Amino acid sequence: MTPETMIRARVVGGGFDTAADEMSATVTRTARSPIFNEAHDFTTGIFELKDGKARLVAQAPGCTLHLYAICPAVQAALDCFRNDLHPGDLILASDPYDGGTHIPDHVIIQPVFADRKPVFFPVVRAHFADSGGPVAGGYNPAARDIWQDGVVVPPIKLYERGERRTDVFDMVLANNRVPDWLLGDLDAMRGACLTAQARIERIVGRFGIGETRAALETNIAYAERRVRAEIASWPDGDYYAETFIDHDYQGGHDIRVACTARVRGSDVTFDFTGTAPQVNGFVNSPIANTLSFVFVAIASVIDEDVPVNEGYIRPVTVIAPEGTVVNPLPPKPVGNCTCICGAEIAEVALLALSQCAPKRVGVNCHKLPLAYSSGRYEDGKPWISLNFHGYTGGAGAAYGTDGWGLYPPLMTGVILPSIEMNEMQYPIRIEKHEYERDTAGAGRWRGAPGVRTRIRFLAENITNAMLAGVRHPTRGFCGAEDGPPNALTLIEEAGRTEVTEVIYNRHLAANTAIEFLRGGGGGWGSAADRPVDEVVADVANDYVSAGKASEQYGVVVDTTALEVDQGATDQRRTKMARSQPG
Amino acid sequence: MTTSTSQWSLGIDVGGTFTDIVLSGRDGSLHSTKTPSTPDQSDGVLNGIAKVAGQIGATAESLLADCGIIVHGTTVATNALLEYRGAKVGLITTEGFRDELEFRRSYKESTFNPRLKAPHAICPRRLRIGVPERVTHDGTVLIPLDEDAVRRAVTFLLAEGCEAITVCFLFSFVAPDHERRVGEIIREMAPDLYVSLSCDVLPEIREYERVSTTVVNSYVGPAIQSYVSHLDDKLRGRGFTGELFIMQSNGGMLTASETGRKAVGTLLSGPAGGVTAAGWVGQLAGYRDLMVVDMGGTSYDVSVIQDLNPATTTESWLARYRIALPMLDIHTVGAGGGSIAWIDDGGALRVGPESAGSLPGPACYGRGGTRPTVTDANLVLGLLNPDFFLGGEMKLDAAAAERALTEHIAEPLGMPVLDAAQAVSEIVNSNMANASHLVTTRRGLDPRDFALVAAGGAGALHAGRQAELLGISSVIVPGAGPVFCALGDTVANLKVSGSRTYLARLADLDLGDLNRRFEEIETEARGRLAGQSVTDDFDLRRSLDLRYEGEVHEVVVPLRTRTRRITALNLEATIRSFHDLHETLFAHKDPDQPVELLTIRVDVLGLREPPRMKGMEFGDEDPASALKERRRIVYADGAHETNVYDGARLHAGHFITGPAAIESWGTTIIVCPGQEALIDAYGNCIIENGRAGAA
Repeated sequence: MTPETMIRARVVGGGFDTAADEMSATVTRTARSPIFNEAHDFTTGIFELKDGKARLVAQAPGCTLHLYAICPAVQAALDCFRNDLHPGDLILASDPYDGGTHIPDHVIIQPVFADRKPVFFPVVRAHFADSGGPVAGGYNPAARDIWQDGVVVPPIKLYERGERRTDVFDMVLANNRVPDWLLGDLDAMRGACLTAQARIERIVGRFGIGETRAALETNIAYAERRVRAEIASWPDGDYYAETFIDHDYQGGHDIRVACTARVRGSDVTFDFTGTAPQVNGFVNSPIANTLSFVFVAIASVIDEDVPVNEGYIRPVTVIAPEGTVVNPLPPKPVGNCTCICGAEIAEVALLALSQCAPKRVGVNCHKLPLAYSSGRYEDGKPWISLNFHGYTGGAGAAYGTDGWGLYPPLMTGVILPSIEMNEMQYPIRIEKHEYERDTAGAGRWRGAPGVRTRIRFLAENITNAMLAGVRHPTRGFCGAEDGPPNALTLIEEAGRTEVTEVIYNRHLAANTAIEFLRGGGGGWGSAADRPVDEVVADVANDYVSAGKASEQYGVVVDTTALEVDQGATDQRRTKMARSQPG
Repeated sequence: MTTSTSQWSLGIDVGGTFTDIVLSGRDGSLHSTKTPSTPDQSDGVLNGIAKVAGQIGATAESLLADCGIIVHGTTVATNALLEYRGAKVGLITTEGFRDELEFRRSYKESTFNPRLKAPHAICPRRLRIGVPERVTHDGTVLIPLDEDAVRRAVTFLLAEGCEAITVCFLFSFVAPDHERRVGEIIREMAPDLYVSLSCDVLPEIREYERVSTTVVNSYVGPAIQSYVSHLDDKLRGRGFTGELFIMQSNGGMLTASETGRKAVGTLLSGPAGGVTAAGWVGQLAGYRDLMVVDMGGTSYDVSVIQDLNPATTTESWLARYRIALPMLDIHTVGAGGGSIAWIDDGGALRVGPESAGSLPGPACYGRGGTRPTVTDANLVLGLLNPDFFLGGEMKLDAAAAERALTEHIAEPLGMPVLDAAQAVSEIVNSNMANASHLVTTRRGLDPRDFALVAAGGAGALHAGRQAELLGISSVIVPGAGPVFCALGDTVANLKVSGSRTYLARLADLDLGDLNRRFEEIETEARGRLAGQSVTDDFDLRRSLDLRYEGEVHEVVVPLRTRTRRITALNLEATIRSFHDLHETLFAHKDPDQPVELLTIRVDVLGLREPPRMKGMEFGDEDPASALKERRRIVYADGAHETNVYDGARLHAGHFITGPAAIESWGTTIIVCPGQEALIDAYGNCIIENGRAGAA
């Protein structure tokens, strides 16, 4: 490789990455709906059209579960408008059975032209606060088909040749409960694309289109080499793992997700043969979602300085048999797929990889105790609260570190809304948001403790809640304990009700509260191997009680003086070692 | 403006390696020196004062006796935080919310990596105690403060050995009474303990930002407070009767006693001098919009100055903790002279972020470093003179540089060593240019509209090329390069930044109330500027954090009024500038959408009399008398025979055509082919770039 090629690859690659970062900053700062601007539930990227295929060339750090999912969505949109793209066009799409995941995650795509041809496509993929359908907020646990999930949006043009298509806008807004938010969000997404367009045009102006594309190809080949180098370091073999979805909200339970990771040289295949057939409830995962969560698993074991682009995907093959819960056929509902069974897909892929690359894996999924509420402000305007604080937590351990903070890395692009800001925007009061003692999966490295959150509603509202991760909580790795289960409690004047699986479109009176217990993360390695001083520190910090220190870790310590009873500890630990298999 | 009768003022900047001193006289004279920094920073400060006193034939005592002002940039707070050597901090907070500091709003620096470790706990959970109390967003007390619980918490924290306590309750920016009461109780129980209340440190909405900033204040507070009073004692012991000021992260300075109270405000005390100096030098050279770059051994810092106002931000992270006070917006990337060039397992050439630092340092330092660095590449390319590093105080080993580059880069990539060196140089240049680009474009600015001020030892080597890459037309390399931050200290103004969250829809804003709130903050800010006699000339700047209803991030919009009272017309004009600024920053605006106010801000500046600077007369244009040698230097476009000038022999008016190199103690300026350089009346080198307009 000549120095020129090498230098140009870095310069052009850096320019495209910066453009994607600038897009992300624009969306964050100017979007209207809280899920978008406070919670950052979106991703920005730039695609290149090459030989009829859309390929990812740059991506800003964001909500990683959108990562791969934007690829098929862009492809679908480009297939639709292949010979009908013009400068100033702006495409909107969200179709789970044509490149999409669940309906709330819409993509906005803008073509950028070079030599009179559409070559580059800045894209924003974002979770809309509402997407029509029977229930506000986009999660309908009663859905029995895709139309009950929400309004499907095949690729449509919001702008054509720079002109806003009012009729199309009106159609989109008419099917949304919070059109003001949506309008603001669409402006923000368009603003982001325009920012990227200006930047891309400057780069192409400097290097020419041929050199720019060659430089991007160099970067893609580079990412591929880095990913292959990692895979090649794993022993060849077939590694099987399985995990289970609690239920499908329609009476089906313990739904198997099975995966064999086949490592051959620098290639890896994730084969989901053996996974349960598609189900009636809204936990089916359309193929783009399945690919996305496999990709999340892969991304979490690869060094993070590898640029995220098409090269990442090349060494990876996914086999997802049609008609299963990981590749359903229309019109099965899919509304919850970005949580369940996306979580199980990433989890099972990582459990499989833990057998060949144990030091790379850690929790990278989210089995959320979901609940969202909607009502009207005093002036009649609608509000939808996703009650984000209630789901936070579940970060697991990995080799060399305890789980910490709130979400596992999968969701760390999501920034939790400020409690104070939330209370100003919604008729809610957050009464508690704190770690709960003894809710971390034990291990040589333990998970982050679970989080207890109580949200009180100051106004009447309609709430839907969906519990997961109870029968099958977040898994631990390499001999560690799983994270404890989630729990959801309704606190009404009449008393407390434990939610077992779901509450559907329930009217809650003012002053009702929901208490969430988000179970902690899973551990890594055997708890008996955790050094005594680390267990004592956990007791000192009240992450772990003295009782659990003894029971789970075999460390006998008194809570006040924090003194270890060495004799009792040795005895406990010897006993633990004996009872361990192998 | 008060006029001090003292003859001298001192600017003192303590860096990692050197303590820099600038002595400025009322007659316009300027003296400077460097001395090694010491573990107790005040020793180096006193050494430096003695050394610079020697230059005017004085002793430290006689100089200090005739010195009215000392302005000091210190890294005491910065180091305490970066090295996690701060105080043992306890936190008293609203019951049910003691983990917000650790939660970090769920933010992690990596979006994929489950192996990323938690930040060092500067306030571990054991020392975070919730007490019953709660107020709502409108200030209603929902749960009264449980004072017994507070006393129990304080007793526990004291028994645990806490050296500082932070108090942060939900909505204390609306109703600070509970925090203030806890402050009183702590003072009753432990009168000398360092206490930070969030309603004092950052009276703004967003609990995580507030608690993190206030905990950091407690963490660095005792260290900076004791350092400043220790230094003050030492100076007074040597006869100093003037006033000691400390540089602040907002780019201004404050009295030593005020500094201790809001310690978190000194985290950028050092770099603040550099940015201030850049503004002053830029102004002298005739530029008001400046991009300031500082390239050191491990990092490259970029910041911008618009219309002579340094850009500030409330979005900083330092040592993985969130600091939401207005601080200079300095963007740092791991690109310095010591940045190591390496080939990763995908075969790509990378530069940094790992640095060889000063020990072992670049291979050419001959101190045991074997891996190639940016400095090694620059040496191989001929940009650096092996016999004139630090004015010849240190010899560079060109053969070692070549060996390192050959072994680690050229051979594995199968290219000649010169190509390898050029690739290293261009990649680090590209990393630096991207950083500069982000700093400007994220503010909706175009880098081409700025003049580049190159500070730091290595900055001038790369500045010409940066101008080419960014399309910038003028570069200023300050004559005072080696003591740049200390120079800034001598010219800084006093500055207090105050703020208050004030949530309102602009359409139904009560102007009378807004004016009252502004006056309150202004009075507080002026209070912090009392107790000094440097100036009574104050400049008030007000701004509003505005956003469209529903947005959660704000745009800071300056209030364009000089009158005391904000009028309806002022407000209308401000809203118009909000819409325009929104479009500049984010490519769209919506004048029909309701606008809301979130926070009001005040900067009160105490303006100092600028030092008199005597410009030098221009001499002849021809620099031939300063020509040292000719050598081959490799530029981005290839090798050129290059005139090398002795910086010490250049004088005002000398005109140099690129390609050229100018060597002075501690700085080498590279003028690229096609560029022109001029020495201006103040000894600065101004490079004009003919190739403006690139990406």
